[in-house]
Amino acid sequence: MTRYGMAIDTRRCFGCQTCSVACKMANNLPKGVIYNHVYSSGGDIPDMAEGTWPNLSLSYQPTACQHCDNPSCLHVCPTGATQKRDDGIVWVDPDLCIGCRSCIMACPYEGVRTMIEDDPEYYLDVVVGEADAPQHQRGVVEKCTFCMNLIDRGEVPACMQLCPGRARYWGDLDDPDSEISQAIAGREYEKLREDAGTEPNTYYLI
Amino acid sequence: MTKETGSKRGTFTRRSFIQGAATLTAAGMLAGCSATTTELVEGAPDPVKAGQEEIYRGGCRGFCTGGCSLNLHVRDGVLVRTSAAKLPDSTYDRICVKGLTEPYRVYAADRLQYPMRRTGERGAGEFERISWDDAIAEIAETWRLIIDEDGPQAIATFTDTGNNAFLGSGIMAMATGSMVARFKKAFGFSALDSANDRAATFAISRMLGADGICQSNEPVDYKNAKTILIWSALPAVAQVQTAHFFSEARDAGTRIIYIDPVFNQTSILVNEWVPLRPGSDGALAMGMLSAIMENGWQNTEFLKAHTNAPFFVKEDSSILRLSDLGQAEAGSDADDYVVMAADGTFGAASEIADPVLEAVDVDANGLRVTTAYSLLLERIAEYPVSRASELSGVPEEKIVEIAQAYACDTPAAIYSVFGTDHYYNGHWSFSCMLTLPIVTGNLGRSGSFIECYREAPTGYLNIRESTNVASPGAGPTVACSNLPRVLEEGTYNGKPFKLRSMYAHSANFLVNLTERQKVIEWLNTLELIVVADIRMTDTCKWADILLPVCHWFEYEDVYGRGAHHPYVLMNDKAIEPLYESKPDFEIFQLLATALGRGDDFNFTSESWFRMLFDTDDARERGISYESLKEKKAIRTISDEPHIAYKGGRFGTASGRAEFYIENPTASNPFRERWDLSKERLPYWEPPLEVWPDSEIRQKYPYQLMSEKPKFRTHTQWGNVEMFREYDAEPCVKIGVEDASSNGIETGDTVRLFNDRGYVVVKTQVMPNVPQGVLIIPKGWSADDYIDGNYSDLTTMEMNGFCANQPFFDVAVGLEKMQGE
Repeated sequence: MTRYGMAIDTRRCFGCQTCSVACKMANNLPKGVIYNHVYSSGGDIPDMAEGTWPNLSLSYQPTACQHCDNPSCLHVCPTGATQKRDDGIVWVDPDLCIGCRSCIMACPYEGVRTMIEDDPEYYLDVVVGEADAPQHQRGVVEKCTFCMNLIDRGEVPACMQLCPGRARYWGDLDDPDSEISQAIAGREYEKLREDAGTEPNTYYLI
Repeated sequence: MTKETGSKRGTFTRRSFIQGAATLTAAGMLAGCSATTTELVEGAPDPVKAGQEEIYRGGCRGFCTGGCSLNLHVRDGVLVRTSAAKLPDSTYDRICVKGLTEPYRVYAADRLQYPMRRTGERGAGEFERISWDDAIAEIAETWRLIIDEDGPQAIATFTDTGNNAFLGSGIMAMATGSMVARFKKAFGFSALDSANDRAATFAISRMLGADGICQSNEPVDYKNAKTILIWSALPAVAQVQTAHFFSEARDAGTRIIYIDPVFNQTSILVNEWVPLRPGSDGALAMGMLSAIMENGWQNTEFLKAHTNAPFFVKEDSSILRLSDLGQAEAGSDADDYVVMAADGTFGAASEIADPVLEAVDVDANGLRVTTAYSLLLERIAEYPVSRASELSGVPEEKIVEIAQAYACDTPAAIYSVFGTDHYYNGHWSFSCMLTLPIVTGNLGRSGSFIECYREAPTGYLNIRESTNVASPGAGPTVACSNLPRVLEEGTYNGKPFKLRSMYAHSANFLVNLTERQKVIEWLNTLELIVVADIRMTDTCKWADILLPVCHWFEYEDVYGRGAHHPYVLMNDKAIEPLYESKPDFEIFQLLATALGRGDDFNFTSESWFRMLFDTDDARERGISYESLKEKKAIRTISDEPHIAYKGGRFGTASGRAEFYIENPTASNPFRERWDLSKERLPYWEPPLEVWPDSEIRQKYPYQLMSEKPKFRTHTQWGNVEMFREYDAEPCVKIGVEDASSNGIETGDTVRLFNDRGYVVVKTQVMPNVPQGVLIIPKGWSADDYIDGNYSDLTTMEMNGFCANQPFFDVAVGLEKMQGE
C-alpha cells in the first residue's frame, strides 16, 4: 500500500526558504497564504539562534501539513470535505468545505492550514504556477496537498523538485527501497506533536 | 466524486494577462487589477492541460554567482513559472527563492515601459514620456556637443553586475564579450568603476596569479578536503548553491571550521563555529603562521619548489637574478632568479632542486641579500600566538588547534569570499590569509584550495574581435569613490580629466556605492545622466533620460561569467519584450547609429555569438552558437574536476606562489597614499573605523555591517512584493547585551547615525550578533526605510593602494526613538 510521507534532514536544512517559495509559486498562492513555513529554532525572528553568546545553535523546521495517519482534522470535519486518500494524502474538497474552521482548531500543527477570509488577492495580473494548481476561494480551508495534481501525473511535489540544501525527501514510506525510506534508515529522527496522537508522516532527521 | 479543476462557481474569477502593448490603457500605463486592462474569465476556464507549456532555458544572473540554469515555462506567451534545469552533472542543479520568482519580476508594476525625460528635480522621479527616436536623438546631440568641446573622455559608461550575460553586460568595467565594451572603445569613452569586492581578487592576483579567472577547485572537489576553513563568508545565504557541497563533505568526514564574527546559518553546514573580531582576519592568519612555524608544520618541499621563499631580496627590495652575479644578461630569458644550494653557492632557481630557505644578510657578488623566507619569518615573529589572540579575540589554544588542523590534516582548504574584503584593510588581511596555503602547500591538488571568488574561464571568447573597432583611443577607468577628488583636481593619472555625462546600465549605484550623499554631489555636476534599466530603481530617479530595458528572458544571450559551476549557459528569448523595452545591446546599436558608427554595430544576438565563439579554443570545447542552442549547457573546463594551480604552477611572473611581492602595483592612482613597505610581505593593520580603540568609535560606538539578504541579490528582486510576506522591511539586527543596555526590544524603532548620515529602522534582537556590532541586510531601497538611508552611512574612503569599497568599515551611533 502506498503511504506518502516527507523527511527533512535538519543537519542539512539551512532555512533558505526555497521549498516554501516553490510551493507558493507552483500553487499560485494568494496574498498572505503560505502552506509551508520554515521556522527558526531560536524564535519568531527568521534565522534567530538559540542560546547565549557564544554558545549558540540554530536549526530550521519546514512545517506543512503532516498528512497524518490519524488526522484530527478528519474526525471533526462536519461535511466530509477533509478526506484521506488511499495513498495517505489528506486533502480538502473545496466543493464540500463550508469554512467552519473546525479542522484548524483541531489540528495541533499551528499554521499549516489557512482559511481565506475574503476574496483571494494576488500580486500580479497573470496567473503563475502549474496549469492545474488548486483554485483559491473565499471561505474554504487550504493547505499542502503534497501537490496531488503533480503526483497524479507522475511529477514530483513542488517543494521536492530541488532543495538547495539537499535536505528534503518524499515518497512511499511503505516501500523500503524508496528514497525516503533510505534517507530515514539508520537515522535518528523526531516527529512533531507525537503526544497529540495524530501519527504525523513528516520525519525530521536529526 | 470526481475533482475537476475550477469546478466551484460563484466568487471565483481568473485573470489572464495578454502579452505586450495590447493591454496598456490609453494613458500608456499598465493599471492595477482593473477590468478595462485585463481579460476576466468567469467560472471554469477551458482547462489548459498541464504539459501544454513551451519550455525555454534561461540563465538567472544577478551576480549572486549561483549561475542557475532555469526551465522557463511559458503558457500563451506568459512566463508562468520556472524550475531548475538539469545540468550535465546534476550535482550542480540549482535554483533558489529568486530564480523561482522571476515571473514576479517580469510582470512587476514598476517595469519601465517607454523612454522618459526628467521633468522635476533630479531624484524626484518625475518624468514625461518621449519616443525612442527623440530619446536617442537627444542623447546623441548632447554627446556630439560634449565630444566636440571636451573630447569623448568627458562621457563615461558605468556598468556593474546587474546582468552578467556576455552580450547584455558582462561584469563591471571588464564587461567581457559585451556590446558595451565595443561601444566604449569605438567612441573612446571613459568608464566609471564601482570598485566592489576588489581586495580579495587584488591579493590573489598578485600572490597566486589569476589561473584564468578560476581561482579555486570545483565544488565537487570540496569533499576531498580533510579540513575546510570557511572564513568570513556566508555561503548559506550568499552562495546558497555551494551549501550542500559543504554539508555533504562534512557528512563524509571533512572537518569544517567556520570562522566569522557573527553566528549565522552557515553553522548548520559545519562542525564548529569560531567567533572572530571583525576586521582582524589577517591578525588571526599571522597567529596561525606563528603556530605553524613554531611547530615545524610548514611544507618545506612546497616552499622550496613552488614559492619564491628561497629567492633573495636585495637592499633595494628587488629580487636577485643571475645578471646581478654577472652570469646572464639583464632582462634576457636566461636571467633566472637566484637561490642558494646547500653548500652555500648561488645558482639558478631552475637548476638547484633543494635550495636553502633561510639566509639573512649574506653577500652575493657584493650585494647584501636575505631570502624572502627569512623576511617572512621576521614578519611572522611580529605576531606571536598571544598577540594574534589579543587582536582577533580567538583563544590561543584554538589558534594553535586550527593551525594544526589546516597544516597537518591535509589536504586542507580555505573558503572565504568577500567578508574580509569589506574593510579598509581588506587586501592586507587577505595577504596574510593567502600565506597560509603557500606555507603549508595547500594548493594545486585535489582538496586543497583557497577561494575568494571563482568562475569559469573566458579565454575561449573572441574578445579581440568583439572589440575590433576603430577607436580614438581608450578613455580612463575611474573608481567612483575617487571621482570627487578627480573632478576637483581636474586631472587623472597626470592628464586633464573632465566628466560631463554618464550612461549607466546594469547598475543601481545610488544604493550600492558607498557614501551616497557624496555620490549625489558628483552626480549633480554632470549635464546629462542617462540610465537604462528594467524597472524604476533609486538610480533611475536621478536620470535625465531614462530608457526601458527588457528582462533577461525577453532576449537571447549567453551566460558564462560569475557562475559557481563550470558551464556556459544558453539564455533563450522565451517571451517578447514587454512594452517598448529593448535589450541593452540594441540600445547601444541605436546610439552608435545616431553617432555615425552604425556600420560597426551591425549584429543580431546570433551573429554576435557566432563572432564571439569563433576561436580554436571554443571549437575544441565544442562551444558554438548551434551547440549552445542545442545543449543549453556546455562545460567550459576540460579537466574534471578542475583543480586550480594544478601541480603548483601559478600565474605570477615567477610561475611560483609569491608571498614576497617584488613590484607591488597599486590600483588606486594617488601616489602620495602608497606605502610600499606595507605591500611586499603579508601585512596587517586594524581597519579604518571599526577597531575597538579607534578614535571614531569613541564618538560612534557601534560597527554597522551589512549582510546578504535571502530575498534579493543586491537590489534586484526588491520589487517582488510577495517577498514582503517573508521579509517585511529593513530591520537592524542587534545583540542581546547591546539591546539590554539600550533598553531596546524587538520591534522598537532606532536611529543609526554618523557624520555622513542616518537611517531609521525597526530592530530585531538576536543572540547571533556580537556586542558592538549592528547588522542591516543590504539591498533595500530608499523608500523602504522609515527615514534616512543606509547608503548614506558608509564611507567612500578607500585603501590608498587597493581601490576597494569598505562596506563594513562603518562606525555609527545608536539612539532609540521614543514613542514609535
